[in-house]
Amino acid sequence: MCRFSVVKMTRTLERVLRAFLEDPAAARYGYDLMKATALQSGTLYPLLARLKEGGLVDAHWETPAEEGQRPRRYYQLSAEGVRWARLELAELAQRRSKGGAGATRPAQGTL
Amino acid sequence: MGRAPWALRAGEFILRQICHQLPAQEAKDCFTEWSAELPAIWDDEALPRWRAATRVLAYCHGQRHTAQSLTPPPGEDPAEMLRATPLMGAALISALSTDAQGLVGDISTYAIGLLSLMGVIALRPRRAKRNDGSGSSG
Repeated sequence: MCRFSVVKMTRTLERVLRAFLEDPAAARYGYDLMKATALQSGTLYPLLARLKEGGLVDAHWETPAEEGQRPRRYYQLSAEGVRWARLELAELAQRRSKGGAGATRPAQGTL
Repeated sequence: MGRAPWALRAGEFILRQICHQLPAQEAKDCFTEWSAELPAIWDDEALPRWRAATRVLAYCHGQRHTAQSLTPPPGEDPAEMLRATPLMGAALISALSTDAQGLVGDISTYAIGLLSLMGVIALRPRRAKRNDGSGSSG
């Protein structure tokens, strides 16, 4: 079964992928991504959960150096996720350049 | 250590309520993750205090939607039907004994009461459980 079947390419997802691809090596926390994508928490977090479920995003906890602060969860595209995101965004750009008026379609491999 | 600002305390309270509907391990992880974001929002230097407070509350409100998306929809649990058996039994006895009240008498009344009580206990609100049994956090 395709691992990416949980994720459909939408404008929202596009924003998230672009934010991640600004620096694929950088781990981002939730509020950081919210600011970068201008998405609400109720939109962003379910999407992150689906990306994680699909193996496209890795999440890990980091304990802050400052005492008394809570551990934070950071998100980062997996190696597979970086490849997939670049491919999808490239295909999207290609479709748009062909006059698709910015239409999105389900990602390749989506059931 | 000083007291946390009211917006953070209110936010944590809301998040705690929201996370309560999640499976236990997921609730713990989500609360830890989400509540750790609140100080980041509050301390965002680009925001005046009133906007930071609004954003904290908006963040918490948005997580209600996230929690709903993480919670399995009701009706997927086959055990729910089993737990409803006492209430169904009570309803059945009640229906059958209505016309023969004098014959069945107190026994059916007590049985209905007992089964209703069991049904209410069995169907009380409880934490959602993951169907895949992994218990992993999102």
